[in-house]
Amino acid sequence: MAKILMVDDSRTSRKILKDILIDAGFEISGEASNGEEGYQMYSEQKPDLVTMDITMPILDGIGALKKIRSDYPDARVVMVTAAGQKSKLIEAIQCGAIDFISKPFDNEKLVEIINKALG
Amino acid sequence: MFGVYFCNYLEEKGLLSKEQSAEVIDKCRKSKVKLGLLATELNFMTQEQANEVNKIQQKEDRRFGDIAIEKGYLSEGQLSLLLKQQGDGYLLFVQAVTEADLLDNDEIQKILGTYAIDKELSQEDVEAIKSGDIDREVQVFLNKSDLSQFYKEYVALTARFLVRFVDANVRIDVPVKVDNYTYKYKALQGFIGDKSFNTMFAGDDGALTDIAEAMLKEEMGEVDMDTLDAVCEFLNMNNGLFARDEYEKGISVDMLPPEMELESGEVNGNVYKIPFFVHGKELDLIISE
Repeated sequence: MAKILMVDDSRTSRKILKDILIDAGFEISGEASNGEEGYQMYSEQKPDLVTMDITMPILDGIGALKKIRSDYPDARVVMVTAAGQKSKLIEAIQCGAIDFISKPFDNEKLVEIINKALG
Repeated sequence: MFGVYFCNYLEEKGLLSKEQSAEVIDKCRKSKVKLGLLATELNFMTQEQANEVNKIQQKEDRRFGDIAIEKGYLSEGQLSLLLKQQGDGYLLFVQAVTEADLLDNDEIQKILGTYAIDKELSQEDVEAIKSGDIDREVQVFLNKSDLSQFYKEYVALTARFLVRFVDANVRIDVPVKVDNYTYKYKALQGFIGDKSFNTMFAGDDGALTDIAEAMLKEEMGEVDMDTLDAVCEFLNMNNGLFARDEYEKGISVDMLPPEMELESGEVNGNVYKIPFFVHGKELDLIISE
């Protein structure tokens, strides 16, 4: 069972995402509420995949993505985004994010993207 | 919906009690069938097509009918027929209020005249409110304010988002500029970029809870950090749609991380209060610079 680390400052967003992922048979290895915490948890847990929100306090999603990919080049990170963050998404993909899922979530599409990202 | 505006006026005038007003609105609400449901019942669309349009609608600020036509699921003629079948909001209100023996048709017509005068509405404004079209309804009230076009567009989008996710019969009142606004809880998100401003939801506890319940699809108790988190997430999705629309017009605005607190405080500076009412409870959208 693939282990997923969720990084998002919104508990609501984490709860909605967690329910979808668990229903689809994934295991949640941990939940972080900012990019710095996400990086720390990634280092400890080495999950199979990270879902990374973009707008977060302390360290945003792009910063955390860069930090994780710099230390762990094989890390698989899927960005989570609200609409209207096109330029940041492009930056994230250039920094090594595999794909992105947008809010509000489309359950089937989300699971399809996660499965594809896990290869 | 016309009923929520007119019932509010009838309450103000002491012609209906709060309970009678709620009963009439509830009757109107139950009489109005959702367009997708109607389309599938009449076999104009399959359930899969209706679900697909609903999903698109969650991500794009567009109407069900417009998406269905673009996808080739409905023709213009079918949509027009569906809208007629869906029911005229004004007639539904008249039916609800007369059936309950609260007012007769002549009385309604008479009060409608004083409503227009008291609320300083033109005949065109009244027709817009009677139309049941949220865009037309909202414009009546936005045009009575000194909000800039940029903020009017933001408020109109927020109204559509509230209709879609929280209450199909949301009501708006005239936005006002205030020197300061005291909030009980903080649920705020800022924008930076070509235009920098803050957006916030405040108001009745019940209105904030309604948003949280719509987001989490579960019953919420008193307002707590989970409620505010859900309200901020709602604001974040709404603001994302706005940022995307503005980006397409060449205006770059980025959203900042939401801020939430269970403590009261004050917003100062250039502050606009836009009063919305969801399920009859006041929800203030606050825009500040």
